[in-house]
Amino acid sequence: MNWLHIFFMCEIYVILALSANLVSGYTGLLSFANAAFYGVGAYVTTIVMKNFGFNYFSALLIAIIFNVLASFIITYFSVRLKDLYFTLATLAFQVIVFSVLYNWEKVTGGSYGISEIPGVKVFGYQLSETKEYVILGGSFTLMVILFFFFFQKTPFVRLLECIRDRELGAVSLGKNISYYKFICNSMAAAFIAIAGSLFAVYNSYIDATSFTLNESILIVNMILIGGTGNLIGPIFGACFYVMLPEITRLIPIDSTQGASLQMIIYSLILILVVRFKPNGLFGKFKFQ
Amino acid sequence: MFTQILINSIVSALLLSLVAIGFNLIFNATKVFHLAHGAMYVSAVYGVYEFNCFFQKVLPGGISIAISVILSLLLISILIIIIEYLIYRPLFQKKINPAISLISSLGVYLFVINLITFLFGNESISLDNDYKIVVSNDYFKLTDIELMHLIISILLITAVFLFSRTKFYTHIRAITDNYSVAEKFGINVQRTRIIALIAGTVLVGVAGVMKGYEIAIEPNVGLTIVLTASVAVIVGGVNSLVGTIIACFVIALIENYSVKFLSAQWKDMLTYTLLIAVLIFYQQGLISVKQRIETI
Repeated sequence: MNWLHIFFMCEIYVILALSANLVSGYTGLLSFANAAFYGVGAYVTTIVMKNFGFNYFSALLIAIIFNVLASFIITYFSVRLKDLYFTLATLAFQVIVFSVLYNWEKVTGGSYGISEIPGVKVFGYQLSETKEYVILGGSFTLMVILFFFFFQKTPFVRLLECIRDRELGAVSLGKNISYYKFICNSMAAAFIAIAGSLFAVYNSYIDATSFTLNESILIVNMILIGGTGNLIGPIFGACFYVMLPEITRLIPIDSTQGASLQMIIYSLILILVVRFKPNGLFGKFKFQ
Repeated sequence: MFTQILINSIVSALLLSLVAIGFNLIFNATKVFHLAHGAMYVSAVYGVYEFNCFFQKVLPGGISIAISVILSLLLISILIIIIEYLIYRPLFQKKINPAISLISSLGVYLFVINLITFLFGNESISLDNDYKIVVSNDYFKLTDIELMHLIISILLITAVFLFSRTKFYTHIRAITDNYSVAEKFGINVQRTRIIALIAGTVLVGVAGVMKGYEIAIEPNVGLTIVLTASVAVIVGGVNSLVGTIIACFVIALIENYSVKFLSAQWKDMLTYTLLIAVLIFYQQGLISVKQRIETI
């Protein structure tokens, strides 16, 4: 059992879950487009590094800018559409982005994906072992967690919570809702770009099947199980979801059955959480 | 070639209409974005396949298939009633947000699909592969299976339109509009929900079994089908059955003709672009019933 690998995946999913929590937990927009941004971040980093010879950090910066630009679409949806229709529009966006990543063979390599992604150089030192990537990922994750820790105490987040609980109230206080939604969506997209780029350089191979609708569903499950609207919930959810396959691996069945057994457990937990504990295990907000 | 694509589009549009009408009935009656509909589609195919494997040893072919289809439809009806009692009804009584009922329905979908893969493996299954061409002329060819699809779906759609004249459908409309007022006027909300759920599930079951006779079905196809059907429902206008059917035709024509002009990979993308365009520009769907502004 490769604990370092599991630890690295935990870090990536913690970043993803925290960003999804910013949109879904604090602002109350249930988005299914997270894996699309994850994929765009990974692909932009890869293409910039491989085809234009940029180093990792400048590629990351370009991926962040690209993702923020892409998040304008989600902002537009969130201003124009409500509840279920917003969720559906993000779902459609996710499917469209996946379809582009999977079929635009000239740029993304289609179903073959892109291999031999160059590794990360930090001040001239080439990272090669998993251990070093865990440290790189860990420092990013720590930065994100610390950012959210301080960020959640600011008046800005209180206003996001106000939009979540009563949008009309926020409007009547003279707040520009579109602006706040825009900031919140772009911030989430930027953090997701970090996760995507880490995933790309760590694996040194990406293909579109890592960024399907199921991945988005998984991220939403993470924040729903842990609970939304705080820090500990998404972190718990992400770690739980990454650890569970390692536990089910102990049961002696073949791998396809093992995969479906995992999904059975996930979905059962999801149903039970939604049914009996709608605000998750640690959450303070329930979707109502 | 042109007419051949047209005929194929009509057949696939009619099959999609069955799924979409079922989705529409359930969405209107329960307000649940019923993604588990796709699981019912797949369960029906697997039910027929497994029952047929069992019965074909003791009974002659035709009778065995008929019994399997009936048992399979019965099975998914029982399944939907269990889901209603255990999950949808308690959530409905808590007056939960539609987005969260979507999540619960997604949970049910994942549970059922993965239970099927766990029990029967994830290889695709086909109910019957051999077909023969019954109509053939200069313009198009029609296989016996496609002819069966045409006849059964037109019969079922007619049945749905007859159903839409009955008082049950009026009850569904009333619940869609405002269930608490409907309840005060003496409409049995719970029973109407169950009728709508069973009607929708039987429709999707028949559509699944018919599709199973045409191509091989694998468990994960359910989500694609139900999402396409939901696009049709939203595009056609949630309140209108005719709108849903017209939207199904539009989607099927777009998908089939896009294969001719673009490659087949892009057809998902076109369908969902249509969804986004409709959501942004015509939020009530292309065809919608006139209603008071505050209920929208």
